[in-house]
Amino acid sequence: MISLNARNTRFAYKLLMPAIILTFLVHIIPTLWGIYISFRKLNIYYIRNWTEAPFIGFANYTKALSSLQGVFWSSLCYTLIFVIASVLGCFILGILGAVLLNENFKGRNVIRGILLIPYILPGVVSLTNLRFMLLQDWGIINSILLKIGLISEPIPWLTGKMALISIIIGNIWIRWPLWFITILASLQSIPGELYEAAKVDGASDWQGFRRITLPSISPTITVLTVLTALWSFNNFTVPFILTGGSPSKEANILSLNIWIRSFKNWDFGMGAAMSVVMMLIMLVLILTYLKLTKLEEEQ
Amino acid sequence: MKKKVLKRALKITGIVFLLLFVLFPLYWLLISSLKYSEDIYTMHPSLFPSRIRLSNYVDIWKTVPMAKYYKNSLIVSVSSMILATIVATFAGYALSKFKFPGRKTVGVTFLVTQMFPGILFLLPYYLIFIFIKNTLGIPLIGTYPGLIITYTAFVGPFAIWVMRGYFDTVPSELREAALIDGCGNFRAFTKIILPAAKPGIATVAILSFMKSWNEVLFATVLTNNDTRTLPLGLYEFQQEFMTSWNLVMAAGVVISIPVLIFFIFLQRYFVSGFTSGAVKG
Repeated sequence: MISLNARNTRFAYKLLMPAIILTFLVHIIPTLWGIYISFRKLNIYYIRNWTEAPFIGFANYTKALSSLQGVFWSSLCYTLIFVIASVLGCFILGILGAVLLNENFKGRNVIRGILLIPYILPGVVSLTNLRFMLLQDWGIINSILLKIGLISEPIPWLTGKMALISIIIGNIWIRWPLWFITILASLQSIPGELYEAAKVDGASDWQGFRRITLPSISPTITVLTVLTALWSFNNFTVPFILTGGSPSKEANILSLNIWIRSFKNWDFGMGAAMSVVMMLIMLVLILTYLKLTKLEEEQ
Repeated sequence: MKKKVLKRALKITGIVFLLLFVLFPLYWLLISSLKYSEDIYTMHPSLFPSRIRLSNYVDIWKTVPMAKYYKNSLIVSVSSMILATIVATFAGYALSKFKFPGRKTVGVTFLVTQMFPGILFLLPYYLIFIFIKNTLGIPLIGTYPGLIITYTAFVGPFAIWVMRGYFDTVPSELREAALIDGCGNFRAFTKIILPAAKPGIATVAILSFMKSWNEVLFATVLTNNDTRTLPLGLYEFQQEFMTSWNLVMAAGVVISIPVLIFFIFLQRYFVSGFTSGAVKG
């Protein structure tokens, strides 16, 4: 099927060359460069002539990770809450949508198209709109909640602890359609006879869902979970737009934290040290992912 | 019988809930873009305003350089879309249909790089770009090429991955038949394989266009007043003109139009191509 000879190998390498060159230029060299910067005292004085920034060993790392400063650890905690809550939310909404739309009824395709819109809409637009809806004084959400009497005072959605909840909602809103559409696709590959057979054997709907549906979609769920976790862990846009670039402590998740440290406080050395630690955490996640997908291939 | 009715009611409630969850924010975006400022700044903004103001859509082109942002975004997104699609189609084909030493390493490297945080690269980029300017005199910060290369590279791995998934579904016999007929590898690729891979190519093209069209992080640092792209333009607009949310919303609608058009025309390809790529991992 796949032929192995010198001519084909040469052709394959030629095809891969642009991608390999690009990966080196834009991913691998900068990564190494970033690690190098993290050992230098690179602050505002050295930005223009950054090659002269003094070498300071692990000082950036100890500063970032010391319990006294604590910036990194609290940021990491909030990032993890953000990631876990986002995955859970996407999971619930995704399964709900997929199960509901896995039947034929009139208007199904239209509804499917509508539910996909948040995924297609530019994230900045969705998030700016959400920010507008969540404004404390003029926001429609507070207005509705006040009118139906659920709250008596407007909630400050975009500051303090509530900001963490808002960025989670924003992240779920833009990501869940991917879950919905991929789970729906894998549901549709389950043969209907399985359910009929189960029904003949006297199984309830819930048993059918637990014994047939869940096992068949679990590989899809695994992939979605890891991808959503990675993308949320990395996320910059959601907290940046929703908090207008000046987040509360709770919404200051890692990418945004590093960005503020580097491009607002101009402490590049520290920002680089934090990104290297972040990269190491990512690596663990990625290796888990590769292991999981490999397990699936073997099965 | 009663149980059946209850089940139906539950299902309808679920669908209505999801539709509201998606449609209400969209409705609010659209209706706010048509409001007068005075109708925005009240404790209880009206759900169904009694008057609308279409000229918001005219004003946005005057209050902010929307036309310039639009041009910048189009140049950057279309260029990186073309480049990324070519790179990904080549690489995806090689990874899917050829066996060669290092195949696995290359595939895993692409996959891993796509997952690293953008912020990790942004700092070194900024410094490398300054370095190139200082030593070679080529400015990259605030220019189109700097942004286009960056976006191409960042869409690349994901695009390669989707493309490879797509080529896996194109039967290898097609290529073999072409080779037997006397085609070279290159001709077999361009004449036989590429036409068969059109849906996959369309998917990757939309995805890469959308990624560049929506990108914020790199745009915050690598663009300047002349090369500002739409997403950042919208963000700054909203920061500067806190008093005109109706205009911000109108700008938001205008920014969304190209991707929505893309989606409507290519939805068929998009759903099948994307799910095959994403589910298979």
